[in-house]
Amino acid sequence: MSKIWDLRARLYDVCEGSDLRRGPAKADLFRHMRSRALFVAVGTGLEIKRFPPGLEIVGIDISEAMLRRAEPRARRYPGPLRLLQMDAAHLGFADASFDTVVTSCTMCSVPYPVRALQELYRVLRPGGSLLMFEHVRSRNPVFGLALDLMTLWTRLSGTEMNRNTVQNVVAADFRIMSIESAYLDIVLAIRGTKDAPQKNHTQCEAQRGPRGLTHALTVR
Amino acid sequence: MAQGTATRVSAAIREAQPASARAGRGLRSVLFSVGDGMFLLTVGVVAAACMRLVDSLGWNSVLAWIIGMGLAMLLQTILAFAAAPLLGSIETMVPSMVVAMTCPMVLDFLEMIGVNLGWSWSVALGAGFGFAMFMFVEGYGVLCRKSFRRAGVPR
Ligand SMILES: C[S@@+](CC[C@H](N)C(=O)[O-])C[C@H]1O[C@@H](n2cnc3c(N)ncnc32)[C@H](O)[C@@H]1O
Repeated sequence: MSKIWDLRARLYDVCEGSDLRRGPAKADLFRHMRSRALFVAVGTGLEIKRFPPGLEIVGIDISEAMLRRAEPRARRYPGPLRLLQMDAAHLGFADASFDTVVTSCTMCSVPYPVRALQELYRVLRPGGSLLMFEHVRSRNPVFGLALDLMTLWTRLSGTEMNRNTVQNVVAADFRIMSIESAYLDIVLAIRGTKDAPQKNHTQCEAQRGPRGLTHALTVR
Repeated sequence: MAQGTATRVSAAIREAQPASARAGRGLRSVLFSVGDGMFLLTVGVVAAACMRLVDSLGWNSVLAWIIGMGLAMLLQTILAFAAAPLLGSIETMVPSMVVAMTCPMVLDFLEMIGVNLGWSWSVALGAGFGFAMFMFVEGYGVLCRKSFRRAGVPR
């Protein structure tokens, strides 16, 4: 699969980056990044210029070609930023080693999204932030169907357009704090956290988030 | 209660932003809306023209529908890729795909029941499809932003 991403790296910034439109919404989300931060699937590094300055950041990606393109952007970042080639589903970091974990159009691309999210959960410290800028399947039946149809061919190049990422985030045990719409109910800015281990089940249930959120989060 | 808190939080966020930044964002979203509208109108016109062209060949209507819609969707994909750097990839691809599917379908159905619109009315219908989709996207966008804001309290 990393071969496909190596190929896509060539035209990624022009055809897929969508930086002009989504940049400000991403910057709004990345404002919440704190040191030490892990950026999962850094791609060509388009987002690096949107990171708050002075943080200690590790950016990973499975594709060598993507990372090569990200290098000059990483060098321009005003702070320590390391790029590593790594699979999101098998992170080589100790448990609870990051304060923030960030993804951007990542969960449409990793082959096993829940497995990857469980890894993100493992490396995030309790109380740390999960920040995700992701596209998901629309709840609207017409747009949902369009995304299902698109997935028939985008899947061949490594992208699933119809994932239920919000449900996957919950399945990986994160607590969702807020969701903002960046484009309809398809492109979302999701903020979550990893709760400290709970002793008591009732307390845990009470922390699942505001009432009504679960309904809005079932993005299908 | 949660809604009240959410309103207070978004008011606080709005206050924290300088007026010039808010005006800049407003202008940006107006420009993107204009771009989306023009793009969807173009796709509607192109899709209608494709179907009209295929219908004018006098083939069997099911075959004409499949070829007309296939051609419309191919051109829509090319147009969406071309507009993506400016308007965003998903933002161009998803609504325009619906236009490229439904507009030829309706035109072919009209042809099948003996309503021949001719070139100008077909193209006008295509533009109407594009405009209707634009309005739907705008309305649905407002609904989505509201429903997420109401459901989740940003902390
Ligand atoms: C759609 S791109 C997003 C890139 C960047 N975050 C952006 O928004 O511009 C998806 C990225 O995920 C990477 N990727 C795919 N599978 C991966 C995996 N299993 N582990 C880590 N990265 C992966 C790809 O190499 C690619 O750079």
